[in-house]
Amino acid sequence: MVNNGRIRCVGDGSVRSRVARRSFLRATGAGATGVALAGCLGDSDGGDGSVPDTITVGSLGPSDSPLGASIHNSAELAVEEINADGGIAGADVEVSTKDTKDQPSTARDVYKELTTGEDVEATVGIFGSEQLLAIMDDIAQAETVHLTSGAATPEAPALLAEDYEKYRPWFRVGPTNSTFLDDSLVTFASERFDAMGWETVAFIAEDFKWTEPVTDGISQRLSDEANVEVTQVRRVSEGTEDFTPIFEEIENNGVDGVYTALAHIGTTPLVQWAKQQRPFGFGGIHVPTQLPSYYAATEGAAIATFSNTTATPTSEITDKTVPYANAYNEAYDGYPVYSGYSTYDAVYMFKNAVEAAESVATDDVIAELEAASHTGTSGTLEFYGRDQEFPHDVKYGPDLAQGVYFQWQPDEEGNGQQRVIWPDDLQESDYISPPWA
Amino acid sequence: MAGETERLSWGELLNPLTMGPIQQLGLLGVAGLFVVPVVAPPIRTIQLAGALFFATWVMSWDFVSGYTGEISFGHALFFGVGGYPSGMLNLHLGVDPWIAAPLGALTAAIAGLLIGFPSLRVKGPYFSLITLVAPLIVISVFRFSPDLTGGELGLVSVGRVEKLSAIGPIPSPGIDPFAGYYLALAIFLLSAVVFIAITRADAGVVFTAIRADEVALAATGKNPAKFKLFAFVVSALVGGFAGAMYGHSIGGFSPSELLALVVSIEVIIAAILGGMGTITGAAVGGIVFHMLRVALRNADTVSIPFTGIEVELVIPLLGVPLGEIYLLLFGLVTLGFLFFLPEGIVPRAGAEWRRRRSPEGEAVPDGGETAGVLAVHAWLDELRDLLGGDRR
Repeated sequence: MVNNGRIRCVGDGSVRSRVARRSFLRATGAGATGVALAGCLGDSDGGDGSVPDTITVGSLGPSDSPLGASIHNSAELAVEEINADGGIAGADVEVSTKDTKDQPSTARDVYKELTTGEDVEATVGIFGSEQLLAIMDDIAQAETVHLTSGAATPEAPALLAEDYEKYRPWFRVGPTNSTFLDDSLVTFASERFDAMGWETVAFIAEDFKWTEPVTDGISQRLSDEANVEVTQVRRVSEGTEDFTPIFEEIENNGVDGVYTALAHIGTTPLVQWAKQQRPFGFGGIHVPTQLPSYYAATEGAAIATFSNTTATPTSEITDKTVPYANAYNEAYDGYPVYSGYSTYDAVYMFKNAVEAAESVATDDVIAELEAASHTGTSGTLEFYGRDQEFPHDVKYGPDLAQGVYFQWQPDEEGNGQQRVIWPDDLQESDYISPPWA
Repeated sequence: MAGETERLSWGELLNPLTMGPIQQLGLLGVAGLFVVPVVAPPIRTIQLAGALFFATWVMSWDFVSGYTGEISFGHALFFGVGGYPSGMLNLHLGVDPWIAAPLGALTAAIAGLLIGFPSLRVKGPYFSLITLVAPLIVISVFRFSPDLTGGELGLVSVGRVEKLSAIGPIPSPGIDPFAGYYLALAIFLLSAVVFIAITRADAGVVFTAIRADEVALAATGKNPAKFKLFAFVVSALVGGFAGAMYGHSIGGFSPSELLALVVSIEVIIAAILGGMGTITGAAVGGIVFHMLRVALRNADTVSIPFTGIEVELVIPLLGVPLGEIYLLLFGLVTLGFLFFLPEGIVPRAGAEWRRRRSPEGEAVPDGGETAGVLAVHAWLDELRDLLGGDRR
């Protein structure tokens, strides 16, 4: 028998992975029951620090959405490259993708299938803060390293700050914590609004958990730090289907632009803004407009809208960004969304950690990740320490990961192109006003 | 027939050795459920716990719709109205889940009363429409108060709902998969006993009579309204309790699991497949439906034994993986069942068993049709009346 954590044993008439059973027993926290039930306990297991012949990485995301597809495809792309280059510490790598259906309940079910069922060595992905929060307790229970690459909620690191030991297998590679989003919005405003001619703005946020840290105090900060007048900060509920009255009021207030924090319900206001040709700009954080196919999908309604994002296919944040985006385009006939960049980086960070530790044991990998500094596609990636405000969250800052702002601008053929308008060192173009404004 | 049988003592009734073979098989199935965590892979135990909760909901639907013939298209309302208050009491007021869950069940019982009332005046398809609309109204209200309910994504987007805590030496069912499984099993069995006891008693006869002819029933001095309301309240109470306990077992309450139309439809499909108006059929149908759904979700490929060939499970022409369209598949199978096997699997299997054992058979007064088939016929008759079609 090979002492690699993949030993199979026949204890009760069925054949299955010993490690799967062990992680289950660990999860039950009932050692005594475990011995009675397990049938084939006794010698070594996979937690002893060795590297197995095959390492499986679980990938979680809503398969039907570009955000989830980018996660799954990027995990597969990274793993293909890694296997072609000799694997992780000599081990073959496999990906097991699971569709979360963008539902917390399904996310929870499929996460258990990956950990308890398939006994993967790590999981990456998850789009949506609600989905992430739904599996945090399961991550703690499974004691399997998880690298988030598509949810921005500050509540996940808050759990680590509260109980580090319990939640320590959790890390976030991207996007940056949403408490930094207001920093990002204020910085962008102070560096660009003057040139854009935005002196008076209205702030619209969707009424979801992730926007709470953004809307708390954004009005004051924009006025203090960017010298911008904010006429209103409005939280819009999910059921809102007609934005006409809201836009009417904004227009009557004579604002220059609507600054946004929209993800789940971003498309309706954007399309209505364009159709009604409102005489103000539109952008800020707008997740749908980050999709590379969004300009075509909205038949050009996205024109002149802007958003921050992790990276765009042409932005040379590091020397890995553009090659990754091109490799992705070649493999999947289209460019990735932000969750793709972070997932690709997450798989590589896990690989580096396992190779440095020469082990897949959770605590060995955690120790390596805590000390890591990785140049990825989305910046220089490091994690905050256990005693800091956001333990295991990706560090935010100009020399680390801070993302870019881009704007949809027409090219010569009339197709939309995402062009970077911030920061200075990556800027491809100046902001342009909507054609009708 | 009841008059011919002498009254048996509890001991005689519950002695497995003197039971009929079908009852013995049922007991064997229950015994099997007890040993699942010992023999099955751990992930199956977790999935089966979910199946037991689902089967409890299917039974709660069958109890009211399969027996009285008042077809409810929105039974998920009760699971949600039981679950959500419990989750919100815990989240916003810090009430312990063990106390919050029964309170949630009481809320569901009140909802059962409120939904039951229209059934006294509104009949058949009209009543079904009321039950269809009610959960949609609740979901819409939820979407406009996301601070309290979390909207479409559920309570997880408001804050962390506590799981059921450990009691003495028993570990927390929310954390320990064994405890979680046996809690689900306990709720499932308790509900089954309550439903079976009521439907096999005189009340069950009255329920069936309501479906057959309410006026005739009233003429015997029984009040159909009282019995209908009773059926709704009990069904909602049990369904709501299961909803609350389910939410606190997994630590989340969301419309997609507890309120959505698709949940109501799945419950009906599972009951039809298993056998309407039997409770046991609903229980079996619920468990099988849930486990099949899980299996389909993960069925990307199937390997043909001994050949080593892996076949990708993709629907030809559409290129859609099988797991994506499970509801369509179940819908088609259900249509097939309604045409060719309307009584469902369990009653048919039982009838088949009896036929083989005594081929001569006995004449049955109702033509051998089960409660479920009669319920569907009665509902269709009323629909024909409303639409002005010919009576059968």
